[in-house]
Amino acid sequence: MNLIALVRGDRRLQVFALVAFTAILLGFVVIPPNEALALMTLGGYWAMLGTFAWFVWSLWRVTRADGWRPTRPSAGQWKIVALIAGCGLLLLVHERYGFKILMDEIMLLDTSMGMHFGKQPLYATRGHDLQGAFQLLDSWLDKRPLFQPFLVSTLHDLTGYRPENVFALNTALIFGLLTLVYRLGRRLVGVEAGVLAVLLLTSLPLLAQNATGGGFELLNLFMILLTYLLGLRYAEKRDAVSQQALLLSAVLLAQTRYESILFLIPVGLLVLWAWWKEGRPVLDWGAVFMPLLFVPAALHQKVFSARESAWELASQPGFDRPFALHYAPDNFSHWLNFFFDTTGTHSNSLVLSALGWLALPFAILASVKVLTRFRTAAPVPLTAAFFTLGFAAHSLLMLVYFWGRFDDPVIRRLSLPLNLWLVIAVVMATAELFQRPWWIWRALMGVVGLGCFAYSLPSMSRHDYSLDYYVGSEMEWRRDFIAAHPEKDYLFIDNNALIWITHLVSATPIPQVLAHKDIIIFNYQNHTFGAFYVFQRYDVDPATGRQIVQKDDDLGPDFELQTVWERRFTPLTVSRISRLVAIKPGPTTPPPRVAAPLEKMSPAERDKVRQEYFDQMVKRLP
Amino acid sequence: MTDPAANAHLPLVRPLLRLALFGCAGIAAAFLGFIAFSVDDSRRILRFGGYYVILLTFALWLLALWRAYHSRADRTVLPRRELAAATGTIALFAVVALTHETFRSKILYDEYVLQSTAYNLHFFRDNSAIVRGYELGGVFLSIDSYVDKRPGFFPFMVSLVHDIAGYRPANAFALNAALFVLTLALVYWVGRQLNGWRGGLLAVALLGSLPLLAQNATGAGMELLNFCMLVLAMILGAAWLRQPDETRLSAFVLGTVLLVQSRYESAIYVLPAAVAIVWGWWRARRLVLSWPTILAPLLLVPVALQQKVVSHSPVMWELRANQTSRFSLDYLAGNLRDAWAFFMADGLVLANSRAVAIVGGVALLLVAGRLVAKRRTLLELPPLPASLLLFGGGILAITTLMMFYYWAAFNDPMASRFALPMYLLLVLAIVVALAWADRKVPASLVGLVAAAAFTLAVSSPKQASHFYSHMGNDELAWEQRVVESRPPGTRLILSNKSTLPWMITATPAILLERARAVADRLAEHLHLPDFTEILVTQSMRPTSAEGQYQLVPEEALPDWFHLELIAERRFGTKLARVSRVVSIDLPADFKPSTPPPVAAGAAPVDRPVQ
Repeated sequence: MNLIALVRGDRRLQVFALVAFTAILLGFVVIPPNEALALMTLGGYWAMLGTFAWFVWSLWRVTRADGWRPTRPSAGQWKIVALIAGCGLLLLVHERYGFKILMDEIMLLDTSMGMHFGKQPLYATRGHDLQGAFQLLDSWLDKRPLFQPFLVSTLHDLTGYRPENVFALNTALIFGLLTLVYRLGRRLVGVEAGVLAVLLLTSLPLLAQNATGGGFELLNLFMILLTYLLGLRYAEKRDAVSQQALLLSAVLLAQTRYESILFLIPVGLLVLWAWWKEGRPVLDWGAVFMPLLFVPAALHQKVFSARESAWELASQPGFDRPFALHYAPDNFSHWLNFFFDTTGTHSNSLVLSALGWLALPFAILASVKVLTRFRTAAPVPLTAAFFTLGFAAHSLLMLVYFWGRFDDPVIRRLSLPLNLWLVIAVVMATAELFQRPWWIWRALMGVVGLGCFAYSLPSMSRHDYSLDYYVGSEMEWRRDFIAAHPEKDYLFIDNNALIWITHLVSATPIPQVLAHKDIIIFNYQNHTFGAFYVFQRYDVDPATGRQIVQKDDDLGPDFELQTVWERRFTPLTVSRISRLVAIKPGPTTPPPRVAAPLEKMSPAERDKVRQEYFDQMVKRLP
Repeated sequence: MTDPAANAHLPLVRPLLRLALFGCAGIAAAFLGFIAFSVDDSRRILRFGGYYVILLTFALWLLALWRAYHSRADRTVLPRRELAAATGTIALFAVVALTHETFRSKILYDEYVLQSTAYNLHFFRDNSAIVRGYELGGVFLSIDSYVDKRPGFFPFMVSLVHDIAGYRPANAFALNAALFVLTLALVYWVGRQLNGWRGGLLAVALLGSLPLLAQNATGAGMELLNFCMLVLAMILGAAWLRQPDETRLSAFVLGTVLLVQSRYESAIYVLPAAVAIVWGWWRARRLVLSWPTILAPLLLVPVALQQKVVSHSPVMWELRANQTSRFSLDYLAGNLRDAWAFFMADGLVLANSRAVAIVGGVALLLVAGRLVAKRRTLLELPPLPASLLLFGGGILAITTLMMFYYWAAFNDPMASRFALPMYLLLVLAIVVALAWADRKVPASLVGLVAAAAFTLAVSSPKQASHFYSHMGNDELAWEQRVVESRPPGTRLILSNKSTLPWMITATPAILLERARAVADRLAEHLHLPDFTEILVTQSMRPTSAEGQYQLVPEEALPDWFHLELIAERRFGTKLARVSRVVSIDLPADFKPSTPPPVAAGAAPVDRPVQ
């Protein structure tokens, strides 16, 4: 195919090239970071709405092109529906719905709130009931991609604002995800492979944790699978309708999680292969303008240029770059710790890890084999090979990420795409290695079932991995407080003020209170709020049992507090909610710093002391 | 055997006889409504007969509707895809409208009065609102009641729901929610008649996304019923003009009688209805008069009696200090300015729709221009446009009338609801104008996309915040929550507002003013087991920019009332509080309120209720 001749002969291709060039200029060159963020603030919601509406329309065109009509499911299909429903329910019943990862999930919810109330993708840092309605006062653009907050905000638009709408979305997505993984297994190999894929995914406690959480991980997996399936359809049909749906799915996937932009690699390769196979670019006028849809994602990424802190390097001491090759060995050891943990405290699936890591080399080899014969390869294996590249790129990126330790409670969820890859690898490798024995699938189903009952289900029931992450448990404790105080007429002083604001409770962080004591006094004297509550963490001195307020939570001697709720979520730390009962007049007296014993220790020493204390505590339980 | 020649004159004699009877009924109605009875007698007749008149009207109307439905000429069935699209769109807008706002009274104190009247209608068939009520012998009885100024159809409908489902105040919300869905379905039908499924969907989208309509759909007011009856009257008018016979005339006339009793000013729709009847006669080339139509003037007697009562009760007019009449030219300029400010407002504060106002205004001008251009052939208008023309004129007349009313500033959230009929006219004008434009460009489809974008961009944030719905009811709802959260028991509320919100939940309440006057009885009740506790609602206001809150003087009780603060909450700049009466130390010079009742009949009750 002579490229120049093609460009000369196809007007759409000329326009496409021009649009792509313009998109690159707009996304990466001409718009400085601050202006980019301002543009995203104004138009981010509308860009998402336009893209999503176009995607829904393109899916409708795909179903129309397939001549799809609702029909009564056959007996076999009912069995699959029952399997998916049962597995979905299994993933939902063991954990309580809640915000599992802070501040990610709260920030996403906050952004959905901004989209709902103001049609701007902003998270609010201040909010108050002024004249009966809760009004968001100070808002900012977050770094997180906008697709999930957009979907949650649409649920708010349809049913009214409530934080729990995100749980409804994730509940729906878990059933959708299992349906898609079944369809993928069936498309790649056959019905048995689809069933095996559903069972393998169900064996993953990490999935159960996210299905009952408020994050964007499930949507990410759902969009990866949807893009994969649309890729399969496109590879077979190579028509404009399929291409449009595939590209729009990729655009939305890129706006679901930061690193999912890597799945543009398989999508791009697939499109180029199809064009090469057809001997012409498959371009309708819709696809011609599609590069512009990537501009919002590119502009949004500039938040990392505008705010260095967005990388959160400071949260992990000792790291100066977000990505580096030398992080890989350490990260990999943490990966092994995660995937092959046998205690059930890491939300891994032992059976999936064992089968998956065994199958992965074979699946990669099979893909390499297909790629080397891409001229003659059939569409389905070739698509699978391209997506293997996408999964591999994603995994490599995680490996060189400064915080890519999958055994970290906050980071485990980043392993979900890799877990999905393992599921697909098992299916592909089994099909490749065991073409003859019909019983192999049933045997594997039996093994997975055994793995589920022996390891995964007890792990899900205990869900230590959620409960051990005490920040998440504290979050639920706060939500319990809100449920117990439904009037929401109080002010909460808490360094995690966003949690309260997303639940329509006025809140402010402790530094604000210390800096503006006069404002607090004004509101206290005039009863602006029904009550003033403070959330604080206290360190327990293991030697004396004395509770010392943590440095960041210290209000100092001017504020007299009365304990309302108190609970220990982790050894040597007590969380406390107190009511403000008096404020001394005059200038703020800085909190006297009595360094808590733990503050003098390194993180490793703290962990050691905590463990020792825990062991002692267990022995001395009454 | 009957001689056919002898009966040849009957087709003419029978209508003339009926016309004469109709005239007699009209004269009798005017006499009974305006001359025959004194104000007190009118009040009594309304109170104990009003329910039965409206029950008869409603029953006759249902019968007429049933007959009209079964004898209809047009038996079109919606195609499945259209039915799915229409149902889906109506369901979508219904869910959006009904889930964003709390089901709660929106307008002080209109909705409580209506609910209170519905209470008495349900339990005692007594067409009056409660002033005082107590539980006596296990039953909450109205001790003191008054005939309200508000028309009776909405309280009647709520009482009907109570009759069917059992008494609960929330029935008023259920009724309005159902009316919202029904209204959207009717509007779809009208839009469909004007421009097929595109017109139907467009009408539903524009009205379904109107925050003002959603606000009323989640309230307990009579606006939705009035709106729904207006659309129904348009449809029944069109049915009558399409097929002018006795059955459709009965349904149309009785529907109009009920519309007249849905809101005060809806009486104006009698005029377009009368013109429609004559128009129908002209189309049928004969006089058509059904028995319910002949009876109709008599069914309107309660409306006339109510007008008489209201005209002689200036306290019901709720005029402000410097106002002396309800309607005046003096109010015109201000009302026009405020109406413009309402229709054109672009913030989130008002429940308006600027897009509908602008596009609808232009469309209305286009429609008016076209009607003027075709004035010579107006009589040949198809039935639905003819009906819309007549009732559209009625809407314009009512909106004009409102401009002379003392409390009709549309940008006052309490009065915004008066703009609802005008929005109906604007939306229908848009549908008609886009139907014309569809002949050249796909205007209705563009309109549908624009309506969807408008819903997301403007309506959704407005409905999410619903600033316009926080008008004092937040405070009442909070007080009721505080009381509900207390241990079970009987309570007397000394209220700084209205007693009605308490009465409809069968909780005795009196105003603070009365509490001061009957302090001796309250002191006695503190030692009796009748009330577990006596609670007081009061409010505090800031006295300076620094706050320094003080109790509102009119709401202060004498120092010898000893109170214990139970709950306090800020609403805007006001602090609402609920306190418990701990003790009352009557001063030596306190004048006893009345001698203790010693015999039946000594108590100042208006009428012992059955």
